[in-house]
Amino acid sequence: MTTAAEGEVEALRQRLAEVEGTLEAIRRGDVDALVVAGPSGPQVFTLQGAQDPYRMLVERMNDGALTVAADGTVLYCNRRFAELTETPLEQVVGRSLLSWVPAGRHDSVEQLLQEAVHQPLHREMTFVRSGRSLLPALVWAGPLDTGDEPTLLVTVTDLTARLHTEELASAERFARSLLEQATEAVVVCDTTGRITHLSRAAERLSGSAAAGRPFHDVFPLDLLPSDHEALLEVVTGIAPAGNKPACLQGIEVTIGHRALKDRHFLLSAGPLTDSGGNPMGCTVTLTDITERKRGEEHQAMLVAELNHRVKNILAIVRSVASQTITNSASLTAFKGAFDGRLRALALAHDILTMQRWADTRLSHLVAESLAPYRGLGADRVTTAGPEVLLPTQIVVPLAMTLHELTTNAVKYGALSAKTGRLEVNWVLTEDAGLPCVAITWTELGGPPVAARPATGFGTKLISRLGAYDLDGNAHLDFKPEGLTCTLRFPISERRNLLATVEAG
Amino acid sequence: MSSPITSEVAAYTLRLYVAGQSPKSVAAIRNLKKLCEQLPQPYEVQIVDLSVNPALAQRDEIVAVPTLVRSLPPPIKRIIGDLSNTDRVLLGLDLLLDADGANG
Repeated sequence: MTTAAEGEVEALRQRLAEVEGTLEAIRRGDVDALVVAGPSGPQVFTLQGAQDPYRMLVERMNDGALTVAADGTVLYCNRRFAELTETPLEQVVGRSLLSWVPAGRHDSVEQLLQEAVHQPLHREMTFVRSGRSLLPALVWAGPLDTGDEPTLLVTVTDLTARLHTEELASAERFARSLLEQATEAVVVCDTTGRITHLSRAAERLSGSAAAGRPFHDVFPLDLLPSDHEALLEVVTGIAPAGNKPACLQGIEVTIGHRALKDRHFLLSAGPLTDSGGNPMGCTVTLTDITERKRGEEHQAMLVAELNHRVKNILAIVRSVASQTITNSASLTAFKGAFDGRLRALALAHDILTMQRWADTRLSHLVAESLAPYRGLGADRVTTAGPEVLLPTQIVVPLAMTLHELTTNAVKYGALSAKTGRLEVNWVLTEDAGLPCVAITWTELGGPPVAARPATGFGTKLISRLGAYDLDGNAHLDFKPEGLTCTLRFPISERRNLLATVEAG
Repeated sequence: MSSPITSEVAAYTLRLYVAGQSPKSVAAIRNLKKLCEQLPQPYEVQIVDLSVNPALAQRDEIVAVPTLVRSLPPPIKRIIGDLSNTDRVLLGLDLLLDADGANG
């Protein structure tokens, strides 16, 4: 054998030894990957066991993982995806990914798969579990280079917990905004009765830092023992005999704070439970009804007053009608006189209504009574006097009196002549130590008053009103130059002191 | 891709071909690091991950992974497997004799 041939044999022997060594290594299991020729150059094929770490990672990861053909057919999935979709693992492979997607969303999933063949992308989607419940998920999809048909790697992340957290946060924000904007005092307590949240109105009512303190300390309510027990049941969520605590609604209470002693509240309380029905505490609402109560009392008083007044008015109308008819020469005369007197009554009531049946200013009543005659000339009718508040019961008789005097002045007195003048003045004075008002009605420049006329109904009425209705006296002086009438009647000291202060 | 473990004026050049994190690849890298402690200096070690670039297998005609190749000094020597038998590796790469020579 030549040296060259020997060398070649040696080289071949070595090659053979290498190949045998390789085969032996494969047989012994010393290798776990092979390099083989592929269409685009060498490819590494891993043998069984080589991918175990990856497999473990994929199988144990908390996200669903799948390989999917471009048409959506699942080629592989991990256990987690089967759990998430509530589908037996063995039924997932071979099924279309679209089968877990609502029919109306198939287009978007198909589009996702088409785009993901070229580049990775992610999208939030909702799957329908086998149990028909919904699975909100973040889906990531990207190309998987297997060298064959386009294949996709897909991961599915369950967003239920995240959405739940977002929902909770949103609900918390909603509740807080409700509390902040509530015009009523709303208080939320835990099951130990400590305040956890409260509205701005409740904060103002508490007068101090209230969060974290027991409800009963912050709002010491004046409650009946039975209501107190019921409230305790609502707060703790514990009711006797295992019953659910009932809601408390519309219990009228007061709060034992000095600053709130005159205020009345309506208490409502209801238990708060978690999704499992376990007590979490309660919400208590305190509605300030002080104004409403005052309004109701005022209204009841007004109704009673109105009844009383209607009866009085009817009595007055009856009396005026009866007296007027007795003193009227004709039906026409009756009509004129009666009509005028009724208008005086109406005027008094208008004023009282405008003042909501509260005190009326004397200047106002005088001005309204003389209003039709202001047009006679600025200097013909003058009035002057301090501010005097008239008790309501005086307004009607005084209006009637002023009407009778005015009618007389227009018919026979100063206002019947072109140059006559009328002065109405009043002063605050005292009568037997009690405050009273003295009004002086002075007519000047009218036709000469010959003598005291026959006592007509007007004159009688003035005297009667002065003596009985005004609880004072009326004095008529028929002087030749004109009539003078003096009215004196007591008024409330307290009210007029106030009026004086206001006027000053 | 190659990762030199040690690099000076190399008397030996060793290339370990691996396939990602496969168990044998991981074991081979671990064993090679231990082995290097017994190697005469200086030497150069490269780790080639074929899962990243399979084309690099052509350079040393790699068929099975992991494979350790002594490319320098010639002739080329290969050891296939995870290099767990140190004596066999040193013997297979002719490193025992060389090591003796270096020491002598």
